[in-house]
Amino acid sequence: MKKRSLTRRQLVLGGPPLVAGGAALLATSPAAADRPRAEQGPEPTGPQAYVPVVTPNGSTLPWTMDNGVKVFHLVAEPVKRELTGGLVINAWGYNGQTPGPTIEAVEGDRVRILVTNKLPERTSVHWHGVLLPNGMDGVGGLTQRHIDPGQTFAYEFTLRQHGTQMYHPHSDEMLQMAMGMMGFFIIHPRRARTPTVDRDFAIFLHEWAVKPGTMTPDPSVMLDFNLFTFNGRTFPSIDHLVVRLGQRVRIRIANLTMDSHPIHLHGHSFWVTGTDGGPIPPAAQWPETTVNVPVGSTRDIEFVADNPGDWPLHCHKTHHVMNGMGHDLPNMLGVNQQGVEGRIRRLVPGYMAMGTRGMGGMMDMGGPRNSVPMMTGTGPFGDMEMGGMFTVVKIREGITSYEDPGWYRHPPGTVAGPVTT
Amino acid sequence: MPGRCVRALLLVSISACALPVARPGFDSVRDLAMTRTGHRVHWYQGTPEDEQAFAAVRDLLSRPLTRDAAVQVALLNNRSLLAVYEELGVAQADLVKAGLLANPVFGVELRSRNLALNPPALVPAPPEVEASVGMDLLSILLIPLRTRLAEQQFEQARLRVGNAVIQLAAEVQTAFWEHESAVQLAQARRLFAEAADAGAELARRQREAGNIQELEQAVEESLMLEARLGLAQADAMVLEAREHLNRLMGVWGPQTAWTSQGSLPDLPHAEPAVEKLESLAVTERLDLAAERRQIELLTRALDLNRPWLLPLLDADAHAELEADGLAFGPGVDVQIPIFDFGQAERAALRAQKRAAEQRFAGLAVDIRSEVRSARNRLLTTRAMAEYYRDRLLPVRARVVEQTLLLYNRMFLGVFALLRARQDELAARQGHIETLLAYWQARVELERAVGGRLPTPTVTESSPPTSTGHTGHRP
Repeated sequence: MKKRSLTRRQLVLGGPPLVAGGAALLATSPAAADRPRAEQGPEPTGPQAYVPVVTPNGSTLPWTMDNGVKVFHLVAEPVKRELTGGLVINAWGYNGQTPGPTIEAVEGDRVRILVTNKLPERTSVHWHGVLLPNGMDGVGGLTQRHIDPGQTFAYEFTLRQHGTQMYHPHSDEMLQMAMGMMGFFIIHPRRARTPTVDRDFAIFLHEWAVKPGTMTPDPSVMLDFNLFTFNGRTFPSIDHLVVRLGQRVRIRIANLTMDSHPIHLHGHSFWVTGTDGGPIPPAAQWPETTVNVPVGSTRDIEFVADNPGDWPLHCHKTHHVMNGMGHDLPNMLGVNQQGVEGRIRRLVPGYMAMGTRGMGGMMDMGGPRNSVPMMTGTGPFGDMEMGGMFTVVKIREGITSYEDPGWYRHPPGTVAGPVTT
Repeated sequence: MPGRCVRALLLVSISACALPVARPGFDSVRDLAMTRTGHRVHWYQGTPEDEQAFAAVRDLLSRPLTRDAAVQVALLNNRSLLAVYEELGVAQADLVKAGLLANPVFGVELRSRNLALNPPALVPAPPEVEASVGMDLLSILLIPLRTRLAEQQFEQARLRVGNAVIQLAAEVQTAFWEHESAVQLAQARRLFAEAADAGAELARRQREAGNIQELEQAVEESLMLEARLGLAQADAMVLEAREHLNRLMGVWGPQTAWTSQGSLPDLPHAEPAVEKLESLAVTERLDLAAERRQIELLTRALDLNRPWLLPLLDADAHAELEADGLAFGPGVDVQIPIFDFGQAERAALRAQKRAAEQRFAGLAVDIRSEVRSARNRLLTTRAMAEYYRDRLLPVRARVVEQTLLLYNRMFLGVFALLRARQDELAARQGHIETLLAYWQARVELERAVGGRLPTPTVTESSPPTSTGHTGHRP
């Protein structure tokens, strides 16, 4: 997966130069005028003007040039998504995936996005947070006709901002978004800002209501979700974020679910540097270890990866780091089940008592097809008992590739262990 | 006529020295029992075979009781049935009596002279003696007819006894299946109660640990108590069924300690051929045959009541011992039918005969309906038992299995698992009840056709018929 980022870099390197003509337009845009001079970095020295964003477990949407216009093509269609091994769902997405591929462009680009509808019903695409002519806003019925199945619409506008935006449907919005239709729309500034970011990640949050043993999310569920994903994957199938020690890291987090998600990083504190409204002025950036990402928003965080090791990055709502479970279970905590367990096992062979001493350390006794245990995952020191929105930022010294480096080798004396008398 | 006379005389001679038992009649009952029920019967009359019968009963009861063993024990041991055998004795006696001539009547009259009326004589005259011998000659003429009548009645008795054997065999089978299903149902109820026990115990412990409300615990406890009551009831039904079977088998004391498998057999692979059962029933049913005999009996009785026979013929011979010798000669008494020439009796007999004909027809109609009804019930219960066995029970097992898998995934709790198992047991209960209905329908069908069904050919799969014809498939 990390190799792919290099390939994208090559793509960028080999790609077309920045649109020079557009810069003139931008010079007169209000956004450009407002930007303090201090934020603008040095003139780009080469065709590469941005560090391409890494979308773990996802991809970046390629483009073609048509007379100075960056042309993207999104295909809205049903997709099958493997959230983790043994758990595949029937979702809706773009170009075979959910979330859809990340659209990356540069402030000042004129972009044309073709949207082909292969869904069973009509759709539209709204460019969340993008400043554009009203008729390109993508609100079915209000700013455009809905895109009927089989039709292809063209959206075209010039980008006059930078930041982390999103795209998602605005037809049958509740259902289509519940089914997974969304993606990043990342607009890079014309000039790299300082301090420069060395690694740039994009994580799209989502939550699903898929009963164990079923495949199709229930779009009518409002609050009772049971599967939580980063970029359409649950732990332990979320790619690790591999970073070299000392790099400045940006993580962009998008949320189009029904809940806010407080995303927490271990081992570091970070600055909240942007929203889908735009960059936060440095004096207004605030420190966090947990950034709350509200519904319908993005948040950019930045930090210097100065602490080597394997650092969890996860939603701090503890139910969101569990895979599917029931919420109406009898409470067996502290209840002695000895004796009764055997009697029930005679009635139902294979029964094992659960819950007396908590929910940890349980053997997986098997579940319905297309379901996964509530907690899972193994680390170098044993069971991790996690699920859902949980991944690891791996900070290593002196790495030259972003291949997963395996588990961190701790320096002696830095691992908590039992006291020996 | 001559042949009949000869036979009548033969009967007279035989009956004069015959054993006081009806061996030929019971032999036919024994054959009937074997062909219609497949079991032996025995009439205890102080022969060495009695001990064999007792031993057979002891042997059958010492092993786990089967349906056939229960029927055999009952046929050998049920006192009511043994009492019915004596009807044969009575009928046999009547048959003997019908062949007997009436005893002659001997009369004697002694007359002495009245001395006062005659002039005194030196030698008193001897008294006069009059003797007579009378014989009911009509009885000689009527012996063949009376014998015929008595034979019919004997036949009827034989049929009644045979029918009693078949009825008892059917009753025993029904009671046996009732018992087996009661044991099986009690077992299902036991498992149901065990599940409820486990749930109530967990709830009790949850309450102790402070994890649930008193209300929730009380609900689980109430379900457990209700389940235990259901079990007690089921156990009581087992004892009831057992005693019913004991009564039918005529056992008491240590002989009531028999055991059995305690479960119903599964459906047989093939159904007996269920076509033409109505015709079979009408031919084979013994109670119908008895009614037929009754009509013949009344016909014979009407024959016996011919006007020319009615006047009582009394013939006698008398002799008179007189002073000058013996005077003798025959005499005859004849009833002159001027007023009563037997028309009343004949009218009554004709009415009785017509009544018997109606009863016969009515019974035939009922028998046909019984057969159709039993056949329909057999096919319906079979289909339902198959449905339980092949469709519902596997699905209920799948519900339990899937509930366990979701329990493993912490999606459902242990109480949902116990409920799923209880629902499965309830379905099992329905299956057992339906299977019982099937086996009892089978017994009823066999009884309705008069004993045994034709041997199985193909699995019957046609739907129950409600039309008038005899199971003919469209």
